[in-house]
Amino acid sequence: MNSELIDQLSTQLGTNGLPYTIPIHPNLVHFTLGLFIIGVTFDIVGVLFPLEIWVFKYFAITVKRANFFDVGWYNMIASSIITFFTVGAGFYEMLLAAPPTDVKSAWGLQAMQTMIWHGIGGVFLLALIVGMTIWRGWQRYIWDKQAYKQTDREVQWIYLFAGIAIMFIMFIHGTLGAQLATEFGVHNTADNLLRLGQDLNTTLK
Amino acid sequence: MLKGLTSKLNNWLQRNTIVRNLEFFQDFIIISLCLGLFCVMLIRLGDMFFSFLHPLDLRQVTSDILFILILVELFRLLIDHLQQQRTSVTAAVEITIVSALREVILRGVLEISRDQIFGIAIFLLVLTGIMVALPWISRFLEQVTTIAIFVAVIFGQFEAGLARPYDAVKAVLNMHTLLGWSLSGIIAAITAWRYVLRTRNPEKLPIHYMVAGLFLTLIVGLQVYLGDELVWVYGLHTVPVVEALKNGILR
Repeated sequence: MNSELIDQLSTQLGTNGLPYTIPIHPNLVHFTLGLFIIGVTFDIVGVLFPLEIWVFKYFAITVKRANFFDVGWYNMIASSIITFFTVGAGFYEMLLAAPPTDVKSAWGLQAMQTMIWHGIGGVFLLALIVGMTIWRGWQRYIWDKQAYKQTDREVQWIYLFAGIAIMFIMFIHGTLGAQLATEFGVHNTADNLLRLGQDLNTTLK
Repeated sequence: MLKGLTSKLNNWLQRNTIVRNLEFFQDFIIISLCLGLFCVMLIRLGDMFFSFLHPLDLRQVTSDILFILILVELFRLLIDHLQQQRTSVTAAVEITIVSALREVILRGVLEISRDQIFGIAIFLLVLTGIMVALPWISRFLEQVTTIAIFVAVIFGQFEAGLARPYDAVKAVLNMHTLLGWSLSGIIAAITAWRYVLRTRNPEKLPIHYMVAGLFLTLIVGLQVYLGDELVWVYGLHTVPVVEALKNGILR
Protein backbone atom coordinates (compact mmCIF):
# COMPACT_ATOMS: atom_id res chain seq x y z
CA MET A 1 0.00 0.00 0.00
CA ASN A 2 1.07 3.60 -0.61
CA SER A 3 3.29 4.65 2.27
CA GLU A 4 1.99 8.24 2.32
CA LEU A 5 -1.53 6.94 2.81
CA ILE A 6 -0.38 4.66 5.60
CA ASP A 7 1.39 7.63 7.19
CA GLN A 8 -2.02 9.22 7.76
CA LEU A 9 -2.50 6.59 10.45
CA SER A 10 1.07 6.67 11.72
CA THR A 11 0.17 7.86 15.21
CA GLN A 12 -1.84 4.71 15.84
CA LEU A 13 0.60 2.22 14.37
CA GLY A 14 3.53 0.47 16.07
CA THR A 15 6.95 -0.35 14.65
CA ASN A 16 5.52 -3.35 12.85
CA GLY A 17 3.00 -1.18 10.98
CA LEU A 18 -0.01 -2.51 12.87
CA PRO A 19 -1.96 -1.16 15.85
CA TYR A 20 -1.08 -4.40 17.71
CA THR A 21 2.19 -6.32 18.09
CA ILE A 22 1.23 -9.73 16.71
CA PRO A 23 -0.49 -9.99 13.31
CA ILE A 24 -3.84 -11.80 13.42
CA HIS A 25 -3.96 -13.28 9.92
CA PRO A 26 -0.95 -15.65 10.33
CA ASN A 27 -2.59 -17.06 13.46
CA LEU A 28 -6.05 -17.53 12.01
CA VAL A 29 -4.64 -19.15 8.91
CA HIS A 30 -3.45 -22.09 10.99
CA PHE A 31 -7.05 -22.74 11.97
CA THR A 32 -8.14 -22.65 8.34
CA LEU A 33 -5.39 -25.06 7.32
CA GLY A 34 -5.67 -27.35 10.31
CA LEU A 35 -9.44 -27.68 10.23
CA PHE A 36 -9.52 -28.23 6.47
CA ILE A 37 -6.75 -30.82 6.51
CA ILE A 38 -8.21 -32.67 9.51
CA GLY A 39 -11.64 -32.57 7.85
CA VAL A 40 -10.43 -34.15 4.62
CA THR A 41 -8.07 -36.57 6.40
CA PHE A 42 -10.81 -37.93 8.63
CA ASP A 43 -13.05 -38.41 5.61
CA ILE A 44 -10.23 -40.36 3.98
CA VAL A 45 -9.84 -42.47 7.12
CA GLY A 46 -13.62 -43.00 7.11
CA VAL A 47 -13.69 -44.06 3.47
CA LEU A 48 -10.78 -46.46 3.96
CA PHE A 49 -12.35 -47.77 7.18
CA PRO A 50 -12.74 -51.41 6.06
CA LEU A 51 -8.96 -51.61 5.60
CA GLU A 52 -8.23 -50.21 9.05
CA ILE A 53 -10.53 -52.26 11.24
CA TRP A 54 -7.68 -54.51 12.37
CA VAL A 55 -5.67 -51.49 13.60
CA PHE A 56 -8.50 -50.28 15.81
CA LYS A 57 -9.09 -53.80 17.03
CA TYR A 58 -5.41 -54.22 17.82
CA PHE A 59 -5.34 -51.04 19.93
CA ALA A 60 -8.74 -51.85 21.42
CA ILE A 61 -10.20 -48.57 20.19
CA THR A 62 -13.96 -48.69 20.01
CA VAL A 63 -15.01 -46.72 16.97
CA LYS A 64 -17.78 -46.61 14.39
CA ARG A 65 -17.35 -45.60 10.78
CA ALA A 66 -19.83 -42.75 11.18
CA ASN A 67 -17.59 -41.17 13.86
CA PHE A 68 -14.95 -40.34 11.27
CA PHE A 69 -17.48 -38.79 8.91
CA ASP A 70 -18.80 -36.66 11.78
CA VAL A 71 -15.30 -35.33 12.41
CA GLY A 72 -14.85 -34.65 8.69
CA TRP A 73 -18.09 -32.72 8.42
CA TYR A 74 -17.81 -30.54 11.53
CA ASN A 75 -14.19 -29.66 10.82
CA MET A 76 -15.17 -28.60 7.32
CA ILE A 77 -17.91 -26.29 8.64
CA ALA A 78 -15.55 -24.78 11.21
CA SER A 79 -12.92 -24.30 8.53
CA SER A 80 -15.23 -22.36 6.26
CA ILE A 81 -16.50 -20.18 9.11
CA ILE A 82 -13.04 -19.26 10.37
CA THR A 83 -11.73 -18.65 6.84
CA PHE A 84 -13.98 -15.58 6.44
CA PHE A 85 -12.16 -14.06 9.40
CA THR A 86 -8.80 -15.21 8.05
CA VAL A 87 -9.41 -13.47 4.73
CA GLY A 88 -10.81 -10.37 6.43
CA ALA A 89 -7.81 -10.03 8.74
CA GLY A 90 -5.52 -10.74 5.80
CA PHE A 91 -6.92 -7.87 3.74
CA TYR A 92 -6.79 -5.45 6.67
CA GLU A 93 -3.16 -6.31 7.33
CA MET A 94 -2.30 -6.19 3.63
CA LEU A 95 -3.72 -2.64 3.43
CA LEU A 96 -1.26 -1.59 6.10
CA ALA A 97 1.71 -3.53 4.71
CA ALA A 98 4.75 -1.52 3.62
CA PRO A 99 7.27 -4.10 2.37
CA PRO A 100 10.69 -3.06 0.98
CA THR A 101 10.65 -2.38 -2.76
CA ASP A 102 14.17 -3.62 -3.51
CA VAL A 103 13.80 -7.25 -2.40
CA LYS A 104 12.94 -10.27 -4.53
CA SER A 105 11.66 -13.49 -3.04
CA ALA A 106 13.09 -16.97 -3.62
CA TRP A 107 10.50 -17.37 -6.38
CA GLY A 108 11.75 -14.23 -8.13
CA LEU A 109 8.66 -12.19 -7.25
CA GLN A 110 8.65 -8.69 -5.83
CA ALA A 111 6.61 -7.70 -2.81
CA MET A 112 3.61 -6.30 -4.71
CA GLN A 113 3.36 -9.33 -7.00
CA THR A 114 3.55 -11.67 -4.03
CA MET A 115 0.87 -9.68 -2.17
CA ILE A 116 -1.47 -9.57 -5.18
CA TRP A 117 -1.15 -13.31 -5.80
CA HIS A 118 -1.58 -14.08 -2.11
CA GLY A 119 -4.62 -11.78 -1.89
CA ILE A 120 -6.38 -13.11 -4.99
CA GLY A 121 -5.47 -16.68 -4.07
CA GLY A 122 -6.98 -16.10 -0.65
CA VAL A 123 -10.38 -15.09 -2.02
CA PHE A 124 -10.21 -17.98 -4.49
CA LEU A 125 -9.41 -20.46 -1.69
CA LEU A 126 -12.20 -19.04 0.47
CA ALA A 127 -14.62 -19.77 -2.39
CA LEU A 128 -13.19 -23.28 -2.77
CA ILE A 129 -13.45 -24.02 0.95
CA VAL A 130 -17.05 -22.79 1.17
CA GLY A 131 -17.87 -24.76 -1.98
CA MET A 132 -16.33 -27.88 -0.48
CA THR A 133 -18.36 -27.39 2.70
CA ILE A 134 -21.60 -27.08 0.73
CA TRP A 135 -20.65 -30.16 -1.29
CA ARG A 136 -19.84 -32.05 1.92
CA GLY A 137 -23.20 -31.03 3.41
CA TRP A 138 -25.01 -32.18 0.30
CA GLN A 139 -23.25 -35.55 0.51
CA ARG A 140 -24.06 -35.88 4.20
CA TYR A 141 -27.73 -34.91 4.12
CA ILE A 142 -28.92 -35.72 0.59
CA TRP A 143 -26.55 -38.06 -1.25
CA ASP A 144 -26.04 -40.30 1.77
CA LYS A 145 -29.77 -40.58 2.48
CA GLN A 146 -30.77 -41.90 -0.94
CA ALA A 147 -32.99 -44.96 -0.63
CA TYR A 148 -31.04 -47.11 -3.10
CA LYS A 149 -27.55 -46.35 -1.73
CA GLN A 150 -25.77 -49.61 -0.91
CA THR A 151 -22.86 -48.62 1.36
CA ASP A 152 -22.47 -46.64 4.55
CA ARG A 153 -19.71 -44.59 2.92
CA GLU A 154 -20.74 -40.98 3.40
CA VAL A 155 -18.45 -39.16 0.96
CA GLN A 156 -17.59 -39.52 -2.70
CA TRP A 157 -14.11 -40.39 -3.87
CA ILE A 158 -14.02 -37.34 -6.15
CA TYR A 159 -14.57 -35.12 -3.10
CA LEU A 160 -11.49 -36.55 -1.43
CA PHE A 161 -9.38 -35.98 -4.54
CA ALA A 162 -10.67 -32.41 -4.77
CA GLY A 163 -9.73 -31.97 -1.10
CA ILE A 164 -6.18 -33.20 -1.71
CA ALA A 165 -5.84 -30.92 -4.76
CA ILE A 166 -6.98 -27.94 -2.67
CA MET A 167 -4.43 -28.83 0.00
CA PHE A 168 -1.77 -28.62 -2.70
CA ILE A 169 -3.00 -25.16 -3.75
CA MET A 170 -2.98 -24.16 -0.08
CA PHE A 171 0.62 -25.28 0.19
CA ILE A 172 1.73 -23.04 -2.69
CA HIS A 173 -0.45 -20.19 -1.47
CA GLY A 174 0.88 -20.56 2.05
CA THR A 175 4.44 -20.43 0.77
CA LEU A 176 3.68 -17.04 -0.79
CA GLY A 177 2.35 -15.84 2.54
CA ALA A 178 5.39 -17.21 4.36
CA GLN A 179 7.64 -15.35 1.93
CA LEU A 180 5.82 -12.13 2.76
CA ALA A 181 6.61 -12.75 6.41
CA THR A 182 10.14 -14.14 6.32
CA GLU A 183 11.68 -12.59 3.21
CA PHE A 184 9.90 -9.23 2.98
CA GLY A 185 9.49 -8.97 6.75
CA VAL A 186 5.96 -7.58 6.50
CA HIS A 187 4.64 -6.51 9.94
CA ASN A 188 7.72 -7.90 11.67
CA THR A 189 8.95 -5.67 14.48
CA ALA A 190 12.56 -6.89 14.44
CA ASP A 191 12.85 -6.62 10.64
CA ASN A 192 11.46 -3.08 10.61
CA LEU A 193 13.82 -2.03 13.39
CA LEU A 194 16.76 -3.51 11.47
CA ARG A 195 15.68 -1.60 8.37
CA LEU A 196 15.72 1.58 10.47
CA GLY A 197 19.28 0.65 11.47
CA GLN A 198 18.56 0.08 15.16
CA ASP A 199 20.18 -2.40 17.53
CA LEU A 200 17.63 -5.05 18.47
CA ASN A 201 19.32 -5.89 21.76
CA THR A 202 18.70 -2.39 23.09
CA THR A 203 15.34 -1.57 21.48
CA LEU A 204 13.61 -4.89 22.18
CA LYS A 205 14.63 -5.17 25.84
CA MET B 1 6.45 -84.87 8.88
CA LEU B 2 9.86 -85.28 10.51
CA LYS B 3 11.47 -83.47 7.59
CA GLY B 4 9.10 -80.53 7.99
CA LEU B 5 9.89 -80.41 11.67
CA THR B 6 13.67 -80.36 11.15
CA SER B 7 13.45 -77.63 8.50
CA LYS B 8 11.28 -75.58 10.83
CA LEU B 9 13.83 -76.10 13.59
CA ASN B 10 16.60 -75.09 11.19
CA ASN B 11 14.77 -71.91 10.26
CA TRP B 12 14.28 -71.08 13.87
CA LEU B 13 17.94 -71.69 14.63
CA GLN B 14 19.03 -69.43 11.83
CA ARG B 15 16.77 -66.67 13.01
CA ASN B 16 18.22 -67.14 16.44
CA THR B 17 21.75 -66.70 15.10
CA ILE B 18 20.76 -63.56 13.25
CA VAL B 19 19.21 -62.10 16.36
CA ARG B 20 22.25 -63.04 18.40
CA ASN B 21 24.56 -61.36 15.89
CA LEU B 22 22.45 -58.23 15.86
CA GLU B 23 22.45 -58.16 19.66
CA PHE B 24 26.20 -58.59 19.63
CA PHE B 25 26.60 -55.50 17.44
CA GLN B 26 24.16 -53.62 19.63
CA ASP B 27 26.24 -54.52 22.67
CA PHE B 28 29.35 -53.46 20.85
CA ILE B 29 27.86 -50.04 20.15
CA ILE B 30 26.79 -49.65 23.76
CA ILE B 31 30.21 -50.69 25.03
CA SER B 32 31.88 -48.09 22.84
CA LEU B 33 29.39 -45.51 24.13
CA CYS B 34 30.39 -46.53 27.66
CA LEU B 35 34.06 -46.06 26.84
CA GLY B 36 33.36 -42.67 25.28
CA LEU B 37 31.41 -41.57 28.34
CA PHE B 38 34.26 -42.75 30.54
CA CYS B 39 36.72 -40.55 28.66
CA VAL B 40 34.39 -37.55 28.83
CA MET B 41 34.00 -38.05 32.58
CA LEU B 42 37.75 -38.23 33.11
CA ILE B 43 38.29 -35.06 31.06
CA ARG B 44 35.58 -33.20 32.97
CA LEU B 45 37.05 -34.40 36.25
CA GLY B 46 40.47 -33.13 35.22
CA ASP B 47 38.95 -29.79 34.20
CA MET B 48 37.25 -29.53 37.55
CA PHE B 49 40.43 -30.13 39.53
CA PHE B 50 42.22 -27.51 37.47
CA SER B 51 39.41 -25.06 38.15
CA PHE B 52 40.15 -25.45 41.89
CA LEU B 53 43.45 -23.70 41.25
CA HIS B 54 41.66 -20.53 40.26
CA PRO B 55 39.56 -18.54 42.74
CA LEU B 56 36.66 -20.80 43.57
CA ASP B 57 33.39 -20.20 41.73
CA LEU B 58 31.07 -22.27 43.88
CA ARG B 59 28.22 -22.29 41.40
CA GLN B 60 30.44 -23.47 38.57
CA VAL B 61 31.90 -26.26 40.71
CA THR B 62 28.45 -27.40 41.84
CA SER B 63 27.24 -27.52 38.29
CA ASP B 64 30.38 -29.40 37.23
CA ILE B 65 29.79 -31.98 39.92
CA LEU B 66 26.17 -32.34 38.87
CA PHE B 67 27.27 -32.69 35.26
CA ILE B 68 29.57 -35.56 36.21
CA LEU B 69 26.70 -37.08 38.20
CA ILE B 70 24.53 -36.87 35.08
CA LEU B 71 27.24 -38.64 33.12
CA VAL B 72 27.45 -41.32 35.83
CA GLU B 73 23.69 -41.78 35.59
CA LEU B 74 23.91 -42.06 31.81
CA PHE B 75 26.62 -44.65 32.35
CA ARG B 76 24.31 -46.58 34.64
CA LEU B 77 21.61 -46.38 31.99
CA LEU B 78 23.95 -48.00 29.49
CA ILE B 79 25.00 -50.68 32.01
CA ASP B 80 21.34 -51.39 32.71
CA HIS B 81 20.82 -51.73 29.00
CA LEU B 82 23.72 -54.17 28.72
CA GLN B 83 22.45 -56.29 31.58
CA GLN B 84 18.73 -56.30 30.91
CA GLN B 85 18.72 -55.68 27.17
CA ARG B 86 16.29 -52.83 27.55
CA THR B 87 16.42 -49.22 28.58
CA SER B 88 15.24 -48.24 32.02
CA VAL B 89 12.84 -45.34 31.68
CA THR B 90 13.01 -44.45 35.37
CA ALA B 91 16.75 -43.90 35.08
CA ALA B 92 16.21 -41.67 32.04
CA VAL B 93 13.61 -39.61 33.92
CA GLU B 94 15.97 -39.26 36.87
CA ILE B 95 18.71 -38.02 34.56
CA THR B 96 16.36 -35.48 33.03
CA ILE B 97 15.34 -34.21 36.47
CA VAL B 98 18.96 -33.87 37.57
CA SER B 99 19.94 -32.05 34.37
CA ALA B 100 17.02 -29.64 34.71
CA LEU B 101 18.06 -28.93 38.30
CA ARG B 102 21.64 -28.43 37.14
CA GLU B 103 20.47 -25.70 34.78
CA VAL B 104 18.67 -24.05 37.68
CA ILE B 105 21.74 -24.20 39.94
CA LEU B 106 24.02 -22.99 37.15
CA ARG B 107 22.02 -19.79 36.80
CA GLY B 108 20.83 -19.36 40.38
CA VAL B 109 17.19 -19.58 41.37
CA LEU B 110 16.88 -15.88 42.12
CA GLU B 111 18.16 -14.84 38.72
CA ILE B 112 15.68 -16.88 36.72
CA SER B 113 12.58 -14.99 35.65
CA ARG B 114 9.23 -15.89 37.13
CA ASP B 115 7.95 -17.33 33.84
CA GLN B 116 10.87 -19.68 33.54
CA ILE B 117 10.61 -20.86 37.12
CA PHE B 118 6.96 -21.56 36.41
CA GLY B 119 7.92 -23.52 33.30
CA ILE B 120 10.59 -25.53 35.12
CA ALA B 121 8.11 -26.29 37.87
CA ILE B 122 5.59 -27.64 35.36
CA PHE B 123 8.32 -29.61 33.65
CA LEU B 124 9.49 -31.20 36.91
CA LEU B 125 5.90 -31.90 37.91
CA VAL B 126 5.30 -33.69 34.63
CA LEU B 127 8.47 -35.72 35.05
CA THR B 128 7.49 -36.71 38.58
CA GLY B 129 4.05 -37.60 37.31
CA ILE B 130 5.59 -39.80 34.66
CA MET B 131 7.82 -41.49 37.22
CA VAL B 132 4.86 -42.21 39.45
CA ALA B 133 2.55 -43.23 36.64
CA LEU B 134 5.13 -45.29 34.79
CA PRO B 135 4.17 -48.77 35.97
CA TRP B 136 0.59 -47.87 35.18
CA ILE B 137 1.31 -46.38 31.76
CA SER B 138 3.62 -49.15 30.65
CA ARG B 139 0.66 -51.44 30.51
CA PHE B 140 -0.66 -49.35 27.63
CA LEU B 141 2.34 -47.81 25.94
CA GLU B 142 5.48 -49.26 24.52
CA GLN B 143 8.45 -48.29 26.63
CA VAL B 144 10.30 -47.42 23.47
CA THR B 145 8.09 -44.41 22.78
CA THR B 146 8.67 -42.99 26.23
CA ILE B 147 12.39 -43.53 26.02
CA ALA B 148 12.47 -41.84 22.61
CA ILE B 149 10.88 -38.74 24.14
CA PHE B 150 13.41 -38.61 26.95
CA VAL B 151 16.39 -39.19 24.74
CA ALA B 152 15.02 -36.36 22.59
CA VAL B 153 14.73 -34.15 25.68
CA ILE B 154 18.28 -34.93 26.84
CA PHE B 155 19.70 -34.23 23.40
CA GLY B 156 17.44 -31.20 23.09
CA GLN B 157 19.32 -29.82 26.09
CA PHE B 158 22.64 -30.17 24.32
CA GLU B 159 21.29 -28.86 21.04
CA ALA B 160 19.58 -25.84 22.59
CA GLY B 161 23.12 -24.63 23.24
CA LEU B 162 23.85 -24.81 19.51
CA ALA B 163 21.12 -22.39 18.45
CA ARG B 164 22.43 -18.83 18.17
CA PRO B 165 19.64 -16.44 19.08
CA TYR B 166 20.60 -12.88 19.94
CA ASP B 167 20.58 -11.73 23.55
CA ALA B 168 17.19 -10.04 23.65
CA VAL B 169 15.39 -13.20 22.48
CA LYS B 170 16.85 -15.60 25.01
CA ALA B 171 14.25 -15.24 27.76
CA VAL B 172 11.27 -15.84 25.46
CA LEU B 173 13.06 -18.62 23.57
CA ASN B 174 13.93 -20.46 26.80
CA MET B 175 10.36 -20.23 28.00
CA HIS B 176 9.06 -21.45 24.65
CA THR B 177 11.49 -24.39 24.69
CA LEU B 178 10.70 -25.36 28.25
CA LEU B 179 6.97 -25.16 27.69
CA GLY B 180 7.42 -27.23 24.53
CA TRP B 181 9.08 -30.03 26.50
CA SER B 182 6.40 -29.91 29.14
CA LEU B 183 3.66 -29.95 26.53
CA SER B 184 5.04 -33.12 24.95
CA GLY B 185 4.68 -34.80 28.33
CA ILE B 186 1.32 -33.27 29.19
CA ILE B 187 -0.21 -34.12 25.82
CA ALA B 188 1.05 -37.70 25.99
CA ALA B 189 -0.43 -38.05 29.48
CA ILE B 190 -3.78 -36.56 28.46
CA THR B 191 -3.92 -38.81 25.41
CA ALA B 192 -3.32 -41.86 27.59
CA TRP B 193 -6.03 -40.66 29.96
CA ARG B 194 -8.44 -40.08 27.08
CA TYR B 195 -7.69 -43.56 25.81
CA VAL B 196 -8.51 -45.12 29.14
CA LEU B 197 -11.72 -43.07 29.42
CA ARG B 198 -12.77 -44.08 25.93
CA THR B 199 -12.06 -47.73 26.55
CA ARG B 200 -14.23 -47.63 29.65
CA ASN B 201 -17.11 -45.67 28.14
CA PRO B 202 -16.97 -43.87 24.78
CA GLU B 203 -20.15 -41.90 25.56
CA LYS B 204 -19.08 -40.08 28.71
CA LEU B 205 -16.39 -37.59 29.75
CA PRO B 206 -15.86 -36.73 33.42
CA ILE B 207 -15.63 -33.08 34.44
CA HIS B 208 -12.00 -33.54 35.60
CA TYR B 209 -11.00 -34.38 32.08
CA MET B 210 -12.72 -31.31 30.72
CA VAL B 211 -10.95 -29.10 33.27
CA ALA B 212 -7.61 -30.66 32.38
CA GLY B 213 -8.40 -30.10 28.71
CA LEU B 214 -9.17 -26.46 29.38
CA PHE B 215 -5.90 -26.11 31.27
CA LEU B 216 -4.04 -27.73 28.37
CA THR B 217 -5.73 -25.33 25.95
CA LEU B 218 -4.57 -22.38 28.04
CA ILE B 219 -0.98 -23.64 28.06
CA VAL B 220 -1.11 -24.23 24.30
CA GLY B 221 -2.45 -20.69 23.89
CA LEU B 222 0.46 -19.33 25.93
CA GLN B 223 2.89 -21.40 23.87
CA VAL B 224 1.40 -20.05 20.62
CA TYR B 225 1.72 -16.50 21.95
CA LEU B 226 5.38 -17.05 22.81
CA GLY B 227 6.03 -18.57 19.39
CA ASP B 228 4.30 -15.58 17.78
CA GLU B 229 6.53 -13.24 19.74
CA LEU B 230 9.62 -15.12 18.57
CA VAL B 231 8.62 -14.70 14.94
CA TRP B 232 6.74 -11.41 14.79
CA VAL B 233 8.52 -9.34 17.42
CA TYR B 234 12.00 -10.85 17.45
CA GLY B 235 11.96 -11.95 13.81
CA LEU B 236 13.63 -15.33 14.38
CA HIS B 237 14.21 -17.19 11.11
CA THR B 238 13.21 -14.17 9.01
CA VAL B 239 15.74 -13.27 6.35
CA PRO B 240 16.68 -9.76 7.60
CA VAL B 241 17.43 -11.02 11.13
CA VAL B 242 19.31 -14.10 9.90
CA GLU B 243 21.41 -11.87 7.62
CA ALA B 244 22.10 -9.44 10.45
CA LEU B 245 23.24 -12.32 12.66
CA LYS B 246 25.44 -13.70 9.90
CA ASN B 247 27.05 -10.31 9.24
CA GLY B 248 27.72 -9.78 12.94
CA ILE B 249 25.49 -6.68 13.14
CA LEU B 250 23.42 -8.53 15.72
CA ARG B 251 24.67 -10.68 18.57
